[in-house]
Amino acid sequence: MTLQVENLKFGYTNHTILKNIDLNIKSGEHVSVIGPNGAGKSTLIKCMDGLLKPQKGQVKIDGKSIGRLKRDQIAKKIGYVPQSSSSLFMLKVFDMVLLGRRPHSTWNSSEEDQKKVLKALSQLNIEHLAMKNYNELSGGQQQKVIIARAIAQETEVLLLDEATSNLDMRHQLEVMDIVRRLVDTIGVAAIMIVHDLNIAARYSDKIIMMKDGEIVAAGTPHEVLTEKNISSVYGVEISINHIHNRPYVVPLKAIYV
Amino acid sequence: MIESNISKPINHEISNKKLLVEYKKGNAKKVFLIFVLIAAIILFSLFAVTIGPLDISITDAYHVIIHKIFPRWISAPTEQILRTVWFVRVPRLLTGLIVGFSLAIAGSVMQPVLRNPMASPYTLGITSGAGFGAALAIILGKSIGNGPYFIVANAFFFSMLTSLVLILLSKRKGSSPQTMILMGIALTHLFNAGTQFMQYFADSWSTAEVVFWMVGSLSKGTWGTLKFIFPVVLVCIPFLIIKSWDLNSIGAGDDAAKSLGVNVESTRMILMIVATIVTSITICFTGTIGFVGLVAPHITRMLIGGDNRFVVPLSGLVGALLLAASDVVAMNILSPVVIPIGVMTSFMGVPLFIYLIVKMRRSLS
Repeated sequence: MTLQVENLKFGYTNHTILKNIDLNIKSGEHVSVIGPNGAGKSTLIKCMDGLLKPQKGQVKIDGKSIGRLKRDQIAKKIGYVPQSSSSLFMLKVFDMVLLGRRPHSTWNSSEEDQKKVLKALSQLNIEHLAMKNYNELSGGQQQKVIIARAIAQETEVLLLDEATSNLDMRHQLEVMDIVRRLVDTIGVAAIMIVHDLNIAARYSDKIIMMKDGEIVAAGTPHEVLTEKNISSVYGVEISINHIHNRPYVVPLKAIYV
Repeated sequence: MIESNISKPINHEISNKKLLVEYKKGNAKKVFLIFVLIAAIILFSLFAVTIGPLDISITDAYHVIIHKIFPRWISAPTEQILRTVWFVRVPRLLTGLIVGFSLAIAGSVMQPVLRNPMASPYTLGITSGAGFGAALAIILGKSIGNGPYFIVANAFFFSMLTSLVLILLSKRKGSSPQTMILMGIALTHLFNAGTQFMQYFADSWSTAEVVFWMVGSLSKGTWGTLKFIFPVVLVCIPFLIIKSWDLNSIGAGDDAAKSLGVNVESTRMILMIVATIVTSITICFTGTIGFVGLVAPHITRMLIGGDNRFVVPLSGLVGALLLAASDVVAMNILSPVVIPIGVMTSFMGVPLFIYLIVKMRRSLS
């Protein structure tokens, strides 16, 4: 599987949000997208799932432009975990995750689908929530349910829009471990927006750093997370340490110009 | 890389099996409820055909029905009894059931499609459109055309027109399901103003007829009207039930639904059109019966939760029972005065609805 973003531009009439985006992602890669608020990270993720139509350029999966694919064809290849998701109606966690089987079974679920739901739930260690109402869960639990739904969807690509931002430290690490395991064991390509630079550094093969709708740096954590890059993109003074052979960012203070 | 130290339960295979059994049991209960409601509707129907303003004994009533189903089996009853039971009570009962069924299903589809618990044929202005069309035909139509079907056709035309306007407006960029509800409320007021304007200048006989149409009645339910309603419902309802799983995805948000493979824009449009057709074909014969379409889906959700695969068909059965039962009460409680069905559904449905809201508080999140 290859996922390519070619010369992508997105925006509204007088307002460009993304420009000159080029990316190349393969199976078995864990990619973190970092950058300050308003850098266009979520917009990029939405363009990659075809939820937003680019003004220029295209997103290709296995050489095919996703603009030409139908929604259910995209859904078989790309899973998407939104920033937050509420259900309008009282839905059991099990039924929420079952929706991940929607691209694979047309109007009702089979025994096979139900087993895959259980598998996804147990991968995230949330089987005990299966019969609970989704809307009554905590934000962190809801986030895990949505990740389980994307896992049940069995796609080659997983797009996660700040999937760990609502989680506490323990759950954050759990979710990162799970995503990393999917990447290592079944060769999923995971592209996730991460706010915590150290989490990104620890788990990712590649980091993409964005600012003002453009990619300013891309490469391994060592290549991207430099003092120069971080201070110019985030406007903070930092120092870099190394733990477990990964860069570790210690923020010092905000730079006021 | 830090190894995850999450301990997995050893008996995790067994607990998974248990979960699956529990899940299936939950779904089986909902299927069971479907059969319970069907049985209740059959029992209710057997009771409903035996009562009415005209004093006909239970045996006579069943005699007619058995005679009609197996004509060779049993001799014909007297003409008057036959007319009352077979040509008044039975079609009226069936009309009540089928209209309640259709309006409730239309409401149960519109609520998730528009992501709004207030959505129903009534709140979207579709019934007001029909009312305006009927009023137009009743008051101005005598010079253009006449006959009962002229009123029906006009009501149908205007209710479809209302929903077409809604759909076209909603296709404009940047409009959300919420704007559709607002448009619906605005159109309701416009049509009501139009109707009142015409009534103001109409003669008293026409005004009375418009009022009679507006409160709704199942008295126009004959075998003739059923011939129009039934085929449309037979085509549309299975379609809505098949699509009901996608309503769960749409309820989780447009982006989520799209990423799950649902073509949200076209699904929303098709479902709105089909739900409107079902609504229009029923209310154009019966007049304004709005409330059941709003309340039956909520009652159903309070009973079984929000899984639309079950909510849609069960709402239909709840709506059928609610409307048909209201009609029987409306006909007999102040006999020989017949209370308008729209009034009666509200009298019966609202207390039940309020009781459930207070007691259960779980229709919506």
